Amino acid sequence: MMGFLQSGSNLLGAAAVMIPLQPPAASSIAENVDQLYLFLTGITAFFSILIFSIIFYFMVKYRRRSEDEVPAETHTSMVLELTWTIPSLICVVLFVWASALYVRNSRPPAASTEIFVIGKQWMWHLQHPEGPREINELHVPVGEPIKLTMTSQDVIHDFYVPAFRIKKDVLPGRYTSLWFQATEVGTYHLFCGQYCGTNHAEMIGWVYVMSPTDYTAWLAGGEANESMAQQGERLFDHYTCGYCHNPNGTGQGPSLVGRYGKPVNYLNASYGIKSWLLTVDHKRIGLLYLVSINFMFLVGGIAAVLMRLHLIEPQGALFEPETYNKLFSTHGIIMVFFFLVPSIPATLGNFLIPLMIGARDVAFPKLNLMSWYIFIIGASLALYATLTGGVDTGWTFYAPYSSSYSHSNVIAAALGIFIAGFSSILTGLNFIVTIHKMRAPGMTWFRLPLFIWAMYATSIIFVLGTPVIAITLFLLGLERLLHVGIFDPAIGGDPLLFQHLFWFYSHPAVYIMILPGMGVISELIAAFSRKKIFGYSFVAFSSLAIAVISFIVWGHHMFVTGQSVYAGLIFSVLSFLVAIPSAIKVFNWTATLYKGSISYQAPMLYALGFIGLFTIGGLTGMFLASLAMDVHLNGTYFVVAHFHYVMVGGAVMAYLGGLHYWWPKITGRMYPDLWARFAALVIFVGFNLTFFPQFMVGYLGMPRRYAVYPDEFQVLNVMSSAGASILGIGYVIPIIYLLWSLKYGAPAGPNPWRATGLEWKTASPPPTENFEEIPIVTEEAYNYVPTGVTRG
Amino acid sequence: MAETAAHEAHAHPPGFAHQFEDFEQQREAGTLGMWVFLVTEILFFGGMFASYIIYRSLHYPAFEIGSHLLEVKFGALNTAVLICSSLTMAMAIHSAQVGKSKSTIISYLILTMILGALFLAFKFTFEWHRDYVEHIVPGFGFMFRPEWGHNAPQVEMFMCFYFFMTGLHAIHMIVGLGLLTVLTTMTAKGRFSSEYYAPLEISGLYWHFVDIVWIFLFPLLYLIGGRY
Repeated sequence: MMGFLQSGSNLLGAAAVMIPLQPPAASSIAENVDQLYLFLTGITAFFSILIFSIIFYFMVKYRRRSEDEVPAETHTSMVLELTWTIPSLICVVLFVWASALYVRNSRPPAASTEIFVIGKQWMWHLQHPEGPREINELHVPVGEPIKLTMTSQDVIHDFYVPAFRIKKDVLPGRYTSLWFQATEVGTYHLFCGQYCGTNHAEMIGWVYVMSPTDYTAWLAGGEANESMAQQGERLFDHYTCGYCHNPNGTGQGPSLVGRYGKPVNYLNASYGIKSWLLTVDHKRIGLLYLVSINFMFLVGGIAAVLMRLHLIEPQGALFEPETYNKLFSTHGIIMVFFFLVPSIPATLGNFLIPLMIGARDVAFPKLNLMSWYIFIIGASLALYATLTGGVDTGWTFYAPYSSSYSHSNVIAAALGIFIAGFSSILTGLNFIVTIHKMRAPGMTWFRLPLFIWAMYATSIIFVLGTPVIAITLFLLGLERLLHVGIFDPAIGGDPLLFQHLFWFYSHPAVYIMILPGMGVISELIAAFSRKKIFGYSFVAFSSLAIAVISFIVWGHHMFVTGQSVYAGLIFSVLSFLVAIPSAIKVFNWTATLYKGSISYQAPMLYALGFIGLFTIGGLTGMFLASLAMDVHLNGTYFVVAHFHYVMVGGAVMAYLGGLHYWWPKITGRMYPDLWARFAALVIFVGFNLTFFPQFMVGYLGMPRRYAVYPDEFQVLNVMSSAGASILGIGYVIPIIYLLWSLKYGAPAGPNPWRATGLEWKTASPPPTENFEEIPIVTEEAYNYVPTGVTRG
Repeated sequence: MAETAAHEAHAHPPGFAHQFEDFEQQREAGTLGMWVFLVTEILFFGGMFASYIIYRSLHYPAFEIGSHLLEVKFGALNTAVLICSSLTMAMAIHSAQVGKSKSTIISYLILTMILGALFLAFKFTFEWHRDYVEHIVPGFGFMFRPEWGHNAPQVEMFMCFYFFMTGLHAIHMIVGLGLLTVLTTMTAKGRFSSEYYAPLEISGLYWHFVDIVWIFLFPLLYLIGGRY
């Protein structure tokens, strides 16, 4: 008897399991939704039963008793009409209740953990903020609010977890979000609630709600019941990775045999000289540029040191004037066209742009490699021109001296610059397309790091300006080769046309040199003061403003050439105008420091040095934009000092600061910071000692490009030469410790500075494809969340 | 079924470059790249056009004499040839777009190449060679004529611009012919379909640009001086 009862209740229990009445309720929302559900069910049941009962009662009570029966007329009752309208008011209650719940449930609590969801045919990709990625499985801790940010790679999907009573469409091309707080440990279904094609029904996943301890354990290394190797093998089979990555290496993808335990990055992905010279990886191309450009810097630097040594004595200590002229021409040509112009864009820009915008490479990787080869051909020609007799025209190649009078290798040098120009054009083209078309999902224009804005502005100048210098040098070369009159008035040309065309490129080129530096400084200031750049959009737009205005100020190089006074006035006004965006940048950087958490590591020292020196360089530019003042200062050492403050104090400082800041990312190693700070200090001191006296000697009236000079300028020249030797030493120190760090530096880890930015979210050095999976961007740049740690 | 999905997600279709997420992105990047390149080209020719305009306004009589040294009939003939080549290029792209057969696309491409080559042939034989014979090629036996008077140096300058500009244009034509050769081979290999014909479209942009440059060159060089 007892046994019968027992099995009977088992049967009942089994029936209850077989016919569940409601899904498991496992979220904080579920209970509210269920209450609403119950209320709705109750009302539905009540009215249904009421109506059914009444109908049934009437059916019986008023059944037709005779064929001839005709009922009495009933009259409309106002009271009744009103009475049964009253229950409709329940709808209002329902509306308010359900709406309130919906609104509340659509607002994730501020403390939510954010998980990214990508739906695609036919699977779910999920990514935790701590890094783990899952496919069709979502592990979450119990009792914590979780916010899902979702997007689709193809059609519309719909993220649906019945146990949590949540659902939201997952749309291609935009983001939706959803939140929940699980309340019960357990395993729950995850469905796609929107028909999405053939295998729609296979979009089934599981949500694992775990206790916080289990969750932490899972985050740390997964479940214990299956070894990592077993899990890996299971996943490898499940996703048929072996189809492409088969062990004997015959598949489309590389074999993965022997890769375990050896993190593969862009540096060790392949070996041999060929793997570098034929690489299309933007990071390797960046390093190719780094080596070649630093070599050019060395050549240009040696020329500078020789010049300064020569100028120790008023009569010239070392060389004939002819040699001296070739030295300053070589210095200028190499430093401007083969170091400063490509310096930051071709090295750091190439390396960082795809990383910063979340792309796998630039838009045209082969074109990128081609640009490097073009640069090398151009640079080789320039070096050839230097070694086989040199050039003595100055870097400005003014005609007709360069076309009809100079007896040096003008053609070879001009051809070198002409060719290298195409490298700039193609790099700029590549960057523009990359920044437009290759940004990661969610990386909107106003979430871009300011370095990208600066590189974009620079690329515009590359594309618009460089072809003009190319055609100008082409015309110059033809005039020199064929003796036909273009610029030389003796044979029918006009020499000022050359200057107009030359400065139409070469003034914007000044901004090619400084804009990337400004971009680097924005990154450094933000990272080392842990603050969002003050006035982000102003800084961003000021880069574009500089790029645009730079094209209409070239005439300020020609105030004393006899161009029209009115032209001079206009060019002067426009030149002052270009100071505005530059000043905006300086003010915003300074304001960023306000109440920041500033640390003084080497890159930050360079950044602060940049701001100071650029300010001096910029303000002395105002002297030269002022017409009457320029008449005195034009062509003197004041101009030399001014543009060295901008070019060396600005661009080179930024280049070095950026190189130090991203060195751990590029190489995976830390450099010795103490040495780096020391070098930064030496460079700062050496630089100022070199160039500050040149302002003074310039104001005194010493013309530039003089191989000999009057005695009264000697003291200032000796100071400058002494500074140059200190500066030279300052540049050698980083070469030594950076090379040392390649082998002996401490491993850097992905984010040694704890900086924001996508480039710090991947390994150091990054893998060839940059990111394992393309990141989804949901926040603005420099989003340093206050830690709550108060200042001690 | 899940396996096939994984394959599809990981497949590398022909013509698809690894750095892109999908074909659409690749097509857009290619097109934008060509437009940016054409902007560069405009500035490249722009330097010459600017110089030309400045000197023409300074030395108008000399430029008039220079222009009269050119044979308008050959310039006009070449203009017609080039406009036809733009039409056949557009037809080639259109054929690919609507999914016409390979042979149709190839015949339009070859027709474009023939017209392009014809342009260059006319240029070299009827014009430049004739100019050389008449000693009006600067740097190669240029001879002043007494009737030019004091304008002679600037007449030479005009001829310089004529040869620089048409020469640069001819170099672009030769590059274009190279592009067309590559496109023809790609078409023959069946690389294009009505879904994927981006290289055709992008090269078409370039070809039309080169034509448009000529449309500006022809009146600036041949038709000045109130001759007609």
